[in-house]
Amino acid sequence: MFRYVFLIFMLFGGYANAHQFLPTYPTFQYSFIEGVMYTKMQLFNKRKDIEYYELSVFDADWNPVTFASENKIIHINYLQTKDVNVYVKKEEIKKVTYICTESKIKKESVQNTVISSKICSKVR
Amino acid sequence: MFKKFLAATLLAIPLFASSTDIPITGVVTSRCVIYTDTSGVYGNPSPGLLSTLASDGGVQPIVRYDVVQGGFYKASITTPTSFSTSPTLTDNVVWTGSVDVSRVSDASMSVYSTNKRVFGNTTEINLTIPGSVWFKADSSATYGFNKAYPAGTYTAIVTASCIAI
Repeated sequence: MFRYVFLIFMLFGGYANAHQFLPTYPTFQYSFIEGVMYTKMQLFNKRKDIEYYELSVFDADWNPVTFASENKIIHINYLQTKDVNVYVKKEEIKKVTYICTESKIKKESVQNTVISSKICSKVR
Repeated sequence: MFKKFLAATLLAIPLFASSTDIPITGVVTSRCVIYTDTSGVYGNPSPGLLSTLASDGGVQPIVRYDVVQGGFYKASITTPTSFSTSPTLTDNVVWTGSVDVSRVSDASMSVYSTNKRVFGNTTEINLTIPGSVWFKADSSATYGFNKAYPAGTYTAIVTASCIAI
């Protein structure tokens, strides 16, 4: 019990550089467009050094799957949470396995050996 | 007297009626959070070598993974195989890299050191235990054969991934 309380406190505590992408296992539902399904993801940026994340969708063998979203490069400020809708054609839906966001670093802001963070959710 | 008693009773009824239980609910879901703990710095112990090892004057990049529930994610850390920024290089660069556990929040996470899978420049570890684990990456780049790196700034990128399984 204490472990969970500690973890929850830690996850929402005041740490400076974190990247979070939820849910872990998204499910697709019908969208307002015929023949297109969508899922809603949530991106949280707690990395001060990052403003942009790239959204991508892959099949089980990590081949890219065609998808649509409001933005494939998501601009998100520090400490901002953003809902991201991912639209995929119904006939492609069985291929979708991973939905990922990866931090993008501006060339001019690179000074050290930087760490790019990538989180992938899995469609089961 | 009776009127006052009646009025007091009527005023008190809503107080009793409004006292209800307020439930507090919490949901613990699987999630993975990646923290960039320390950005690395290449040291330049000899003219043709760049290395993040402390003994070479560098700083190892450290990344922290937090998972609320074990067995839902794997960590995948890729060390660099090219510079993201550098002066123009005319010869080959030989890259080596490794990833190891730096710190753990639970002693049983020490199995991550033995259970890691390494292929190419990528290291994968199944995050089977809830809690925090810090991974340190080591990267070194040797330029040509007995060649010196041209003067300038060199940077490279370590990719830390958290993939649902």
